[in-house]
Amino acid sequence: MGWSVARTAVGDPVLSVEGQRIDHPADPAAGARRWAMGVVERADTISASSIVLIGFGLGHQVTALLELGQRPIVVIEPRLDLLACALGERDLRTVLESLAELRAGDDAVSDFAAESAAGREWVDALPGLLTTSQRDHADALEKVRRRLGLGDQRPLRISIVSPLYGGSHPIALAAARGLSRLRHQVELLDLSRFQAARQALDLFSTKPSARLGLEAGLTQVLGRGVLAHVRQRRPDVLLALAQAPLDAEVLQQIGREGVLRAMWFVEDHRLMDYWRTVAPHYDAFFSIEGPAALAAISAHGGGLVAHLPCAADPELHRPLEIGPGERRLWGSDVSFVGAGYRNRREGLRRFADFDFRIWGNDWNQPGPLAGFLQRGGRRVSSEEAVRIFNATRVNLNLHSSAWCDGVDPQGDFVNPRTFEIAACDAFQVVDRRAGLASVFAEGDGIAVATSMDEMRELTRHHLARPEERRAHAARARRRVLRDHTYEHRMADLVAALRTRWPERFMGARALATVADAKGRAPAGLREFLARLPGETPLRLDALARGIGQGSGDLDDAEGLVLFLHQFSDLYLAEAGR
Amino acid sequence: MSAVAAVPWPAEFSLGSGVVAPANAPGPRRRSARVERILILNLTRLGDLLQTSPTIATLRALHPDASITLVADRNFAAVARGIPHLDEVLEVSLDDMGRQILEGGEGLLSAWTMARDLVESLRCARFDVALNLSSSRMSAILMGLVGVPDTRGWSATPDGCRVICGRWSKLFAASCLHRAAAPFNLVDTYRLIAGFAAGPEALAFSVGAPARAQARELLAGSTAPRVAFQLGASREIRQWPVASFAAVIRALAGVGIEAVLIGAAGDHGLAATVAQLAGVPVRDLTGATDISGLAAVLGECGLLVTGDTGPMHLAAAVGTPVVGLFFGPALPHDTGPYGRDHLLVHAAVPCAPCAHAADCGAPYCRQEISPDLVAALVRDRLAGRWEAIEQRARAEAIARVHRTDFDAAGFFRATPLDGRSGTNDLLRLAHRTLFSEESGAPVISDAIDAPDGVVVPWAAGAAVFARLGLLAREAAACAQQLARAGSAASFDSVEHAHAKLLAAEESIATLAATAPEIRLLTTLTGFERERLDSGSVEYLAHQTAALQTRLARRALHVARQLAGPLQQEGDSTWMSTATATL
Repeated sequence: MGWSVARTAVGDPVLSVEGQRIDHPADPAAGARRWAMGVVERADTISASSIVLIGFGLGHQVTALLELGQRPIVVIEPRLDLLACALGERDLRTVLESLAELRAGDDAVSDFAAESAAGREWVDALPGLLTTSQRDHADALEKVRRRLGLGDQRPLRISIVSPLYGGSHPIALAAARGLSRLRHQVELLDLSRFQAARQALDLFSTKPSARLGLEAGLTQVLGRGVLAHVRQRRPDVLLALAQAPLDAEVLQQIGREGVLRAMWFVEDHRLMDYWRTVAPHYDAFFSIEGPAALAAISAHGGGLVAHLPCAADPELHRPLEIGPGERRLWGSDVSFVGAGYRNRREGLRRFADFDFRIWGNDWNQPGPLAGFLQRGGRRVSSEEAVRIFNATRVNLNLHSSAWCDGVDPQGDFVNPRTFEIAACDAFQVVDRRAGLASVFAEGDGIAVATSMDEMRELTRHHLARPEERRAHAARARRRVLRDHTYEHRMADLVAALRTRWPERFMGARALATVADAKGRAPAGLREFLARLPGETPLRLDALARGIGQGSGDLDDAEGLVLFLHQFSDLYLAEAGR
Repeated sequence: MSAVAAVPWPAEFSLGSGVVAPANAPGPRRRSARVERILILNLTRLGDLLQTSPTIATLRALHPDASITLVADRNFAAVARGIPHLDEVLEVSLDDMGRQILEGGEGLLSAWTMARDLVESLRCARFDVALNLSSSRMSAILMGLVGVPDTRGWSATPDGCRVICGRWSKLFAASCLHRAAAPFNLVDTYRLIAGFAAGPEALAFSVGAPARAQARELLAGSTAPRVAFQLGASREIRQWPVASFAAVIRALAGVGIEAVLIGAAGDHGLAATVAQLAGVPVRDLTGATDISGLAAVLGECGLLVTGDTGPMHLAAAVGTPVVGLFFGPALPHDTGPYGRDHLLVHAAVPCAPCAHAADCGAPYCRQEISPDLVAALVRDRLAGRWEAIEQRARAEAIARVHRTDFDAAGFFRATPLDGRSGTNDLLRLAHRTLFSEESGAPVISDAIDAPDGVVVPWAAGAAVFARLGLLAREAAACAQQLARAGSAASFDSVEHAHAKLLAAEESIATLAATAPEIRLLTTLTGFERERLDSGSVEYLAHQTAALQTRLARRALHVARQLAGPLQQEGDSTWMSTATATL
């Protein structure tokens, strides 16, 4: 039979299958409630329309799921004897009536798996079932998941490489947060801590040629660091942000480790052309720019090349209550946040008769704008920018250009600031960009100017109309929250990778057996695995059992397996509490 | 009764002796004469790390030129960095390793690589001495792989078997299994494992000037006396109910005491609930500080109310008095704050203490500590009203109030203030006199000095230990007989003597099955015989005889302690009872 029923102090029946507790021994209802909340949370991650539960047990878990009452529940119980026992033990009439479907019997799982998916279903199994020797339950779960196309829903292990400095650094941090919220396993290699080292290279030489050589050396060191990380962590994907210090050689080596290399190029490909040397060594290259840039990048090789616009991080870019003191510090009628590119130095002179402030760095020759430049042109942090956006009546958003004097008529991509200002519930006038229409529609609350004259006119118009401004800002924020957060971008990025390389992300256990792992295992472990039968599951308990097949003293590989086996028992017990 | 000969221990009190490294360890495997590099492995949490600090201070005093490295879980590396006298803190990310294992597949290969890198980096450092203060098989295998010539604590043999190195590590192992009867607090146990019977009487944690400035800033704006409250705990079973905390805070607010809520960022919700239930203004600093800031905040408070938590030890380290609430698996004498004049309330329910991993469906012990009692203790402790505290302690039925200090030998103790002595109190004290003597510390004259003499002498307890002593003596005699038979090389006589020895040992096992009070000693003997090397029958028999003789000496020592005045007055009831069934 393999199962037994015991009773709690108050007489509730509790089930064990093959010695493994399925129900909480003292309070099965409370235990089931905690478990059910976890299932619903997991189902939420894929916006599941219904929940499929393998195993009925004594019905405690099904009852708890029904009480949470969010989705139809389908239950599959392969064991009729267990189901009969449950019905004998508890009055489950109401529970059975509330189920969308109950299937029981030997063939229930395979029948269900053979049918086509009715909708977006989350499949789970009763607690404890998958840790028993009843591996058929685990297989059933896998089978049904595959039928539902959920085999690729496992979280990915993604390592993100940030640049040392610059505008793409905060985007790396935001991308990491977005991926974490999507429940991927993210590790951020925040290389900004090496910026001080880069600046310290001045100690050796300030000659441009020597400096370039030194920086290349630092890039090599950092690249080797990233490679060491990849070898240790073995992520599914290495996502580099623009300006990440990875040269072609390191990228090739990372590729040889079997890790998918992706780049999010959040810059103007005409201004920054280093992409030409690295693009061929990325498996996937995402750009914020439109068709022309994508075509140019594709022409240089590389695998997948795709458009991935900028976004906002609502956790950081948010509406703030700005008091009078803060308004004095950060506020003005009109402001601009950004670096002093040529078109800005020229075009923004047109706002000299407004209550106007300019925030940002690289304004080396501000000319007549010197009096408007705040804090001597110091760099503005992300948090400071949020305060400025919130405290300003009209935020000017003029995209950079090195070859025109105002609005760039060839302007293509939409900068991060567009999304960030909108997410702050702040009003902006932005210069026209080819890509703007694909992210904000008419009526989405963004005022668009095709020239500096029009930008000035729109500013004047909205300064006089606070209600109109507020309504625009609210609409723009709604649109950003709906479609343009980093979470949305990262979901798109992962979906693109999964579509292009479905086999790499299929199933929770790409390396399921010792035979699968032999080619991937590091030296030492590889020799140990070679001594085991190929069909041995790649699990610590199975590997530890394999140690017993030898005799005498352990070698290092065996000792380490034994160590990890003991560690996992302790760690999982701790994590399970 | 006749005297029992004491078996001399091998001298293990100076660092520089221990187990030999396994065959796969690199480099020479001889023990170094001079201690240059010391490794301490403590992969536990905040509280246990802080409780290592007196051991580290003593190691530093004895080996001023040695390099001391502490291996700690990355989550608690900041704590380790605040412990003085360390030259290096080596972080191990157990979370990363755990995540990799949970992921399976590639993750498992990564976890193996991480473990390999850890072992290699520890081997490269070529430590002379290692103290493993983590009592787990996991840490044992790690230490076995690293192969430090003189290892104390849990380690492993080359074929992967767990071995406990050092006499005090074995006592620690037995104490972990029988905590209610354990003679020493964890800090003293760590010190004994390192080889010191006496050491500094304080935990240590360095707080920098920036942290102190931050604390003053966080606490600015009020001149009211402050009491800190640590609301959360590592597990729910260790957490006092929020309504109880709220009631104490409300009561103290009524006498002008400000509550400062401390804890991690994850405790913020808990703090909000407590504040709401209390209905009085509180200062919520949950998640507002790092570990140094927390220490500084505690230093600025007049007292801390807490369960048996890491911040409790931090408060002790910065000299802030504690009112500690002990229930579930927590025991005051075991992990109480190491220092003088802390007050520890223990819910002495019949099932206490529960196992560390217990999953209790009805943790009623938490309710046995009333908010009224705690509020009164806080007020009286702040005012230094010790008589009032003792009066309250005597009035409590289940919650027992303890005061902490150090005995004549310098060992920590938590003495109940209710004037009552339970059997566990007596047992623990008797064990302490025994092992205090074995440690070479001054003999404790006041060990069994329970006020009011409610249960002293404990005749039944004395009788059971006396029986154990006599059974062990019998077993020792059988083992000696076996040794003689072994040397005579007569198979029949060996078999006969062996059968007698097995029967004697079986009698001890049967006694232990029915008398839990003797299990600390019998378990310790079990750990001590683990290291018996294989050899001739004669050799093994001699070793067994020595072990059983030592057990007999210990058991009779405890018996005499528990018999107390009865024995001196010539009342031999306890001994007659003991010997009746022999």
